[in-house]
Amino acid sequence: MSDRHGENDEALVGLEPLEPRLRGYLHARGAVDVPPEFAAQALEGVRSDGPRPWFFARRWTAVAGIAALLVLAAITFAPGSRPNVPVDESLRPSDAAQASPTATELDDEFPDSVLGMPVLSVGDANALLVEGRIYGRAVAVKGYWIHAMLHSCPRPGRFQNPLEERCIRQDFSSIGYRGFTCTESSDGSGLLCHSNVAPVGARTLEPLMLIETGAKEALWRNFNEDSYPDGIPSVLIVHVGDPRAWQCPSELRDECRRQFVVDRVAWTAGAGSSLTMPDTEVRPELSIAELEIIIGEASLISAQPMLASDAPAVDPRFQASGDDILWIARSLRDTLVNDPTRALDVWLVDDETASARSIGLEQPADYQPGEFRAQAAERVGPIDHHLIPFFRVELPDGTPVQDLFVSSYSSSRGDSVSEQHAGLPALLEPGTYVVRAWRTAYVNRFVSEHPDECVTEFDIAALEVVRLEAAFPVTGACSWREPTFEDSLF
Amino acid sequence: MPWVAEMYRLAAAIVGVEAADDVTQDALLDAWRGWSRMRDRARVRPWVRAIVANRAKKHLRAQRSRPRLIAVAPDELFLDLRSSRVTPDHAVVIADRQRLDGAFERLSADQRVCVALHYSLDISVAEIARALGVPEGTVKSRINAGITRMRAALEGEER
Repeated sequence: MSDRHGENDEALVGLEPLEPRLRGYLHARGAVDVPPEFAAQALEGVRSDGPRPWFFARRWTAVAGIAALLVLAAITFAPGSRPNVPVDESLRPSDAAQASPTATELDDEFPDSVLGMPVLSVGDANALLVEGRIYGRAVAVKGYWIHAMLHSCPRPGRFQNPLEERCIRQDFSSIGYRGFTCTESSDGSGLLCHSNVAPVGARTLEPLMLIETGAKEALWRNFNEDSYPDGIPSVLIVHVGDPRAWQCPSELRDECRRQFVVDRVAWTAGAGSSLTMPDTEVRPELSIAELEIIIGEASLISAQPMLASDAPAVDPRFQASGDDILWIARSLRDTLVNDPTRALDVWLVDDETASARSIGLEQPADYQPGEFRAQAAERVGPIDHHLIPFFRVELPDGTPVQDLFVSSYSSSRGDSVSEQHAGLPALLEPGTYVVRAWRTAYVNRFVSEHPDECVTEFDIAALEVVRLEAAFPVTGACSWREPTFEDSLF
Repeated sequence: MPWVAEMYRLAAAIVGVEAADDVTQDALLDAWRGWSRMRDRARVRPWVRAIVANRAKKHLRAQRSRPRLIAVAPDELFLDLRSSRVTPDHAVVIADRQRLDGAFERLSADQRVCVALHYSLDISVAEIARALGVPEGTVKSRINAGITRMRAALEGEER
């Protein structure tokens, strides 16, 4: 049988091995996140009528998914949207930002308190930030979640912490307004859209919804442009001083620390929201109700199950590795009367054993971790393209500390070496550690065997950055050395 | 994996990130319109992949008749956007990426789809065949022909 390109089906029984340069290139083509600007692109295409499709009903577990859903959901209900119409690039946001044509004043529709916390205005929350009173602490803040038209935003070619997010600029405003306006083009060929800026007098903050944000589905359910053209009235529990700031480049660390992160959508569109089981790839045994028993029903504000190796990506102070299922949860701690802020505890709960431990979100002044980054260089050869460098940091006694993956970006040095850039760094207490490297498959995340691994020991001091490179020959064991290429470019 | 993310990655792998938005959006519309006719939920994933692949091929066919714009994905530019610094190393990376892009763009639409599904998204030959509705041998031959063509293009350029 031949296809229309004349290729003979029977002549080939297998696939030829692929050299690392091509393998790395082809892998990188598919190793991309859904960019926030995709949401803006989707504006023009999704029909306003028809059944709610299955993929919109899903709950998202990643920032990228959330970004896409933001506008997709908005357009799902947007009247007058037309499918498959081009956008006038000259009228894309930022440069063409205009004053909002409508605005809704903050009124008394908001609750005075949620989950035992007084509800503050956006201005009050910003004032507490300026005063330095909410680092590592939570506040409840009311405002309008604005339907945003998200902007195109280049990303650096390196691992990027979610707190560095510059592309998703979700406005949460004290005064409601239309986030964007679309009009039909004069020639009838499509919609022209531009974003609007907050009206004069509005106070705004730009909170980040992240993977662990609790009850975010409650907000998506109300993403109805008809009912809330000027944004969805919501109360969010937010914090600043997130420990992931330590994974930001040092020159951006302060900026990352000031970033508002949403712990919980507490109230939206007239109703309080409850915590429900997040839709994730992992299948935990524990239920939300059981977590509430473990942690405390009244104070639990978010709970997210994940593979253990992913836990340091949510709170880098937790050291976990492997593919067991863990929960990261946050809870409110009692606080002084008349203090509108609440201390937050972060919990790591083992899904199998239900054992739990917690630490305060606020990092003590003596928390000054070292930063370990691992990268890899592979010699060109006919190796299995499914195998990718993988690292595990351990204590000298063999206790696993953290798994490290190479970044989604790889480059090549001629035809001889494929360079796999460092991904998420490990934040480590000062001390001595062991790091192992081997090639493994991402298909099931991990393999128990460590063929041709290489092992080395390193010391790390407070605030020190240690970088090591594993060199993989075509066959045989890898070896450790000082980096031969930059692992991040910023 | 969220479906939209998977669709976007597949589109990016086939047509490049610069066109992935449009292709994914069109594929979303197709999926939406066809969802009511989708009875066998076990076939959702291959169905979605086929929709993206078809949209990507349409896009590639349309692109052939237009002047080509050279676009490099921001993710891969390796530019320091804060300082606008581009070092010679970065230039080498970008140039290599452009060579590889050029070689990939020599592939036929069908070859691109099969190569991208297999090597960019780690989808097995059997699953690709199921999604595209073609024999496994066809998938293998498209992959091998595509890789051979890429190698030839790279060798020709670097000789």
